[in-house]
Amino acid sequence: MAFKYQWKWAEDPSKLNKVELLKLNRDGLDILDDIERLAAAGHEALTDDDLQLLKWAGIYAQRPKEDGFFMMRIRVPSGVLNSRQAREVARISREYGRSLVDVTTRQCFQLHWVRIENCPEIFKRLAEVALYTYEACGDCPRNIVGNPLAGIDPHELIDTRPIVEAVQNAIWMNREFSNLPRKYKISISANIYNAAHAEINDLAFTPATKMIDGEEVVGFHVWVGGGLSSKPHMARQLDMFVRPEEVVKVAVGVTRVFRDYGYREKRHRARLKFLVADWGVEKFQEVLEGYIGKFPGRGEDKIVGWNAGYFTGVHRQKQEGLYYVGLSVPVGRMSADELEGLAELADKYGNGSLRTCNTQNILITHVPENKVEALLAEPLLKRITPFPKTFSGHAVSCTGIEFCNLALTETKERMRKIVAYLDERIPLDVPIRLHINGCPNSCGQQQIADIGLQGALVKTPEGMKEAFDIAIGGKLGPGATFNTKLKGRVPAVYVPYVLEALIAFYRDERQEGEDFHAFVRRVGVDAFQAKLDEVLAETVSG
Amino acid sequence: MAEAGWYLYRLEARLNDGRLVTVVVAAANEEKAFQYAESHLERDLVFRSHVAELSLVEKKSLHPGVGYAVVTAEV
Repeated sequence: MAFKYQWKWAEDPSKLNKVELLKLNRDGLDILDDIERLAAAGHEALTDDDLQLLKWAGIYAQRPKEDGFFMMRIRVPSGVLNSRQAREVARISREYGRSLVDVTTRQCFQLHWVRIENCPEIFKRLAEVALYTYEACGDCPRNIVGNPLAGIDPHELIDTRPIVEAVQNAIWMNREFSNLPRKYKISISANIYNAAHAEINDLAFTPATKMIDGEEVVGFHVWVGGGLSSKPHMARQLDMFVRPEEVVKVAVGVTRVFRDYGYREKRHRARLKFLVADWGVEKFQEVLEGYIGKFPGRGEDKIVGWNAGYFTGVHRQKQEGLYYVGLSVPVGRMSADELEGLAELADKYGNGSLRTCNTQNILITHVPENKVEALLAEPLLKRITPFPKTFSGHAVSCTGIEFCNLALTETKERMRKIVAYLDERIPLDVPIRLHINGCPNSCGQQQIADIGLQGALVKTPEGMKEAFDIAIGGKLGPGATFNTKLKGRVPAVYVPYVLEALIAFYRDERQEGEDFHAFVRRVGVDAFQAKLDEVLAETVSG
Repeated sequence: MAEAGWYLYRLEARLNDGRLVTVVVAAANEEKAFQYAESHLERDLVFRSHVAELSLVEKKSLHPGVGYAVVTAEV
């Protein structure tokens, strides 16, 4: 309660929502002092307030809430992980989480089936390998997304690992920032292909250079106000060039602006994106400069494209003679045995280093050239493969109705079946990124997909049936745009056939070298709408 | 008062004449949400036979202040 009365917004509580009032009386991080007591009392004794604040401990009631199980999210800043950490996550999953491990779109691990009674032991074991769940959920700085290739990337301007660590040290578990108006997402990357999805974060740093005093300086540009959820916003760039050693200062400043000026009356308008949209970037920068002083104006953007966060296959590191192997984890889900197996492979063939990706995949790094072939022959790499089929290798899925209280449809297993069907029926030589989400929120980031699927339920004479809205043409990087929803909700059972027809339309009509996004831009959404109408008339009615 | 385990559901009814109607109901589960939405549609607006498709598109935990903003027409 150290800061209870110092916050400006506490002066007029009548303007605060219920969660804000709770946070004023009990900071989210206070729950960490109560974990032992709550664990001893058991699930039945948890109050609504406890459940709300347990998000700061990184756990979230899983569906159905009354059964007493939790989802547990483990932070992995920039996706950088070692085999000892991976092995411990696997063991904890096996002992307390029914051997299920998900990789998330923010490079975290998520476990399920965790009970409050086991949390003290789990937190202790995670801390022994320097992993933490704290502030992985809640109104606070979430896991910092970064370039999973940081330090080994031939396409990065600088190694961002020390910067991510410095920002994390400055703002994570810091009571100055543990009561933000809402969740707060940071991305830091110097990869020139926008590996960390800058535009969909509250705050992002992207690679840039600037001539200063006759010398080309490598640094960053700063983006604010991005985010997805049910009202997606692209982040906007400030007129500011930041040297690497000043990233922490800017990150702290932006976080203070959000803390002090972010909206706390309505939770659905509390994300930083709403403040930035209302103020505009000029005013935002003016206020920010009041906290951190003036910075040089923007320099030259160094982002030249978007790799969408995919790294499957065998690739050279910037270190001579070393390779990283990008592995596809189907819809981001693996077993504890598989994760432990990957840790063993990282030790056997590399230097024990692994990286998680924001596409729910995983990398093994530092593999010498003479060991690559043997690694590729390992049985585990038959399923967690570096050479996935086109659709299987570019599929992202939210958790879905299996565990999420707000989901309306099942997602992961459905996506697995959809991509298996498409890979069988319509082999393609270029990737088409499919994302699926079980509700209008955006854990599966459906708005940035080439083809996004959003779940709903439809009433039919046979009862409730799952159905999906289809949106096309999303992209980040240069020319970033969210995808556009087509009219016509597709019954789940027909989704594979409808997608097959839409993708065949692209395959048959594309020009040489034209990717899916460029094709959508050229032919227009109306052409896809006409195709969808035609397919629905044939398939659903026929 | 918050209702433990209840949700505020948003449904969309596409009518035979092409209009789209948004229905918001509080219910304990999806099945009930559909039932309540159909009742509201029939009581306030149209016969059941006029509804071409009824879909449940979003749910939120029920507590004071929870709601939806819905676009009804271009201004």
